[in-house]
Amino acid sequence: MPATKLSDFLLKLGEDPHTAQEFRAKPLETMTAAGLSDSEKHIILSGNAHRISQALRPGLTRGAGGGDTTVVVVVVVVV
Amino acid sequence: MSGSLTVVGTGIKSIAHLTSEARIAISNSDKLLFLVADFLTQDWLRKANPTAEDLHCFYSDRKPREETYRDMSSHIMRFVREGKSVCAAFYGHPGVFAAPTHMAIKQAREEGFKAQMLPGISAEDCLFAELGIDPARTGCQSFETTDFLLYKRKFDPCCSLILWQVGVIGNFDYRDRGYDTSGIPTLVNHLKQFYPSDHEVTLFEAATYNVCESSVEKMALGGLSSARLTSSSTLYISPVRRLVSADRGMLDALRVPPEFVKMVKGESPTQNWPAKDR
Repeated sequence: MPATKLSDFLLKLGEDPHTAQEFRAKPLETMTAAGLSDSEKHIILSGNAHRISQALRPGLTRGAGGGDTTVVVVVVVVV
Repeated sequence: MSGSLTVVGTGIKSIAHLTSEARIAISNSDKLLFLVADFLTQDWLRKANPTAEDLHCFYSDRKPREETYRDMSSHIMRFVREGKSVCAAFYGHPGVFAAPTHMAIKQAREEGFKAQMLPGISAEDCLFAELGIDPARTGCQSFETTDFLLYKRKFDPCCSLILWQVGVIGNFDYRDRGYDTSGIPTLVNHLKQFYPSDHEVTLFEAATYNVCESSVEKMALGGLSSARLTSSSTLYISPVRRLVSADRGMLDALRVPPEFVKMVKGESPTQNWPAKDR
């Protein structure tokens, strides 16, 4: 499981309109109230998706934007 | 047959893009399998359904993606055949650039199981919203980058062009440590046959978390070779603005009123039609 306080806070931001509104108005106070460490606050305020992913759990990579598929190469040889 | 399959999309921006019907399918299934791009969504999925299992384990370095997708599809089908109501959650739209979902649905239906796909928000949807592009304006063409080059796909430079997976150009296997993008100059040279070198292009990467901004990097086509690309980068190429006119024969055949016929630069004459008439 990911770093729980950080994960819980980000999940709450995505689900609870009140928390989302508070965060927009007073980001530091809202994060302090949620019990986030200074390091976690810096990571969120950086807005850097890679740093956030690393903090939640290192090592995941993803494929292409919105999906990930492959191309099948068809070679037709005309004799 | 009691087994069933519902494939859902989790969208791009972690849990923020999950639709109500996707949430219900995820929570109510006997078995949840998932392939998502961020740990927050993973965490949410595991809480929403304790049977959750990550399909990411089927990737391995240099393993051909086609083989990975077959393995994922087979694994999904294993639970359907056991008679379970299975939900497979994939990031983005589950039917857009997601081969295993289509494979599994086809297989399930062929074997007589009920199978459905619920739409999600794709990277292209995010691109339309954030770059302010309406695909109805000039039309929009969308290709996978490697496919676009290999098959020299025909396209109209006067329409918007979207090239997916530009950051994995020429790669057919999965790479843990990033992809070789040495094919980009080939792409640029190909595009220069249709666009001027200083034509503006945009590299877009949609935000994964709700505390992040999407990455929008505008540059001249000629500068693309030195741009920093990731596996999530999508390339948007705006239409070439040149004088085009509607086809006289079609105007007559469709009885288009003269007031709607305009000669505009690179834009279709229908752009000023009232929305309700489109």
